[in-house]
Amino acid sequence: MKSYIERFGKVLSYFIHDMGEMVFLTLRINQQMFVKPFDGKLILQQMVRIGVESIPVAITTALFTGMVLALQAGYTLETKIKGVSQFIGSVVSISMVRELGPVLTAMVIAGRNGSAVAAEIGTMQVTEQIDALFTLAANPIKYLAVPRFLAFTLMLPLLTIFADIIGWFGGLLVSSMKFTSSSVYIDSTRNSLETGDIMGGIIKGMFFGAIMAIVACRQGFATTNGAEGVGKATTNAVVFSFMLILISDYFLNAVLIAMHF
Amino acid sequence: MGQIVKIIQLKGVSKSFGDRRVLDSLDLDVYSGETLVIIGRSGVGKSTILKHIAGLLPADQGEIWVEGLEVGRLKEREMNELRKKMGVVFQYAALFDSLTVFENVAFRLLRDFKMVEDKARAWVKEKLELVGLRGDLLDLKPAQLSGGMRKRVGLARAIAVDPEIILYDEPTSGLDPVSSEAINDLIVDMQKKLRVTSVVVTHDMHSAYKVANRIAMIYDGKIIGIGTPDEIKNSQDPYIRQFVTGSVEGPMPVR
Ligand SMILES: Nc1ncnc2c1ncn2[C@@H]1O[C@H](COP(=O)(O)OP(=O)(O)O)[C@@H](O)[C@H]1O
Ligand SMILES: [Mg+2]
Repeated sequence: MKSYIERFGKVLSYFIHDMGEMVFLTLRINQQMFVKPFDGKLILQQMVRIGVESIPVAITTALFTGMVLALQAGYTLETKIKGVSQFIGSVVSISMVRELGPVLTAMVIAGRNGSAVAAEIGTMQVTEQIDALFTLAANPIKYLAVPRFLAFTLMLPLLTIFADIIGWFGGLLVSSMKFTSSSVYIDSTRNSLETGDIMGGIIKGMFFGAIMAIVACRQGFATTNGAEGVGKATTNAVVFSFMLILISDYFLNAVLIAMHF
Repeated sequence: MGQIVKIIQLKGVSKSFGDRRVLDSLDLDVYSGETLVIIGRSGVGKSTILKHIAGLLPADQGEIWVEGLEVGRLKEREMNELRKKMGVVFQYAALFDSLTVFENVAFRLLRDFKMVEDKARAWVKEKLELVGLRGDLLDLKPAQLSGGMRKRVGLARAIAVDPEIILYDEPTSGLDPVSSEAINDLIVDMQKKLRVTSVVVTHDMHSAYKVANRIAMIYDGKIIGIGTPDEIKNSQDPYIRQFVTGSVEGPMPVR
């Protein structure tokens, strides 16, 4: 029993330490962001990697999520409540825009790009490339973390909007094939979806982007122990990102709802 | 050499990693224009010394002075100024994988000094020739180079901004004898041609004798002996004798 408590205490203290480090990293990134030179090319490169190259996965995820939503909603509304399938459009669009668009997109990008960032920076750390950056007068926070932070925070909202549209369209496909006409689906969406729903989702996407950037950079910079350490950093980046995205999602929702989004 | 100037000074520098005390109130002076070789077994803290001089690690105690400035007290901008005068050659070259040879060597020229590309390319070619590489490597990625070539590119990057000090971390380790010899010649060349001060960390005694003006041996966190190659070769100190003769017998335990 004691050992369990001890172990829990240890995990908790690591967690608090990690959170502290991440807050510190966030502050340093924000401070370095305004130091010259401005690495426009690096930012663009990261935006392409995160935004453009992720589009196929983002499309697949969003399309099938929207389709599944329509299928589930249609089935539930038809069999359980009878004859209210004209609401499918609103169920799909609101769930997609408020919740599944931002969260699932964030998960996919954390898995795909967050891990890559942790592995890249981690490898640079264990091969002394980070030290080399310092000796060449390039602050690694500025040179590596700032472009990634900006790219994640800017691209996640865009990918979220993209996912919202594709997901809604997936819902339209399934709904018009199996349940109602497309005009009913579109009307249902129009009657219930508000700008605030969409904005709320986009804001969440931005936060999730910032979170995964910080987590991935922090794991990368803290890498020790060679190749094994890089593997660990990569795994940790994904696991911590997932957890923090889901936890912060709850609180972001609470705040957004309180602000009438 | 005329008047002796201490260009690098470590004064009572201590450093621990966790419980392990790697540097224990270590003192060391490096004179302007000389090549000082630091020898010692793996894991004694040779790289740690270089990282302190390069301002990559803070000392727990003590002071590090480079060119009359105390490294630990410099602001980032001041440190970056000082780093113009100091090139570091890393053990495994530490080239940036994602950049080409040209972008690696020209890193500071392009990013910091805003040199235009054409001029930078000519400049980099010149540096590559200085380290014995052909200019047609410019657009290759580090992964396409051999170990010896990577080390040379690392050296070219270190001398790209014409430093006054070059720090070498195990420049010959992991190289075949011919490449090692070529690197030794380069280190001697750099001293002659560019009049740089060099600090070379190695456990390769052949290389040490070849390039050094003075050799310092580190053991148990301290410099236990320092002198000319001949003095070190003929030292009666049992630790130094054991190391330079590469003997299993002696006061140092074989781990
Ligand atoms: N960043 C670090 N964190 C923890 N331990 C370190 C770190 N750097 C070096 N060490 C430890 O300090 C000792 C000296 O390392 P180093 O200076 O690299 O030795 P050398 O270059 O002489 O082989 C080693 O035991 C090494 O494990
Ligand atoms: Mg070393």
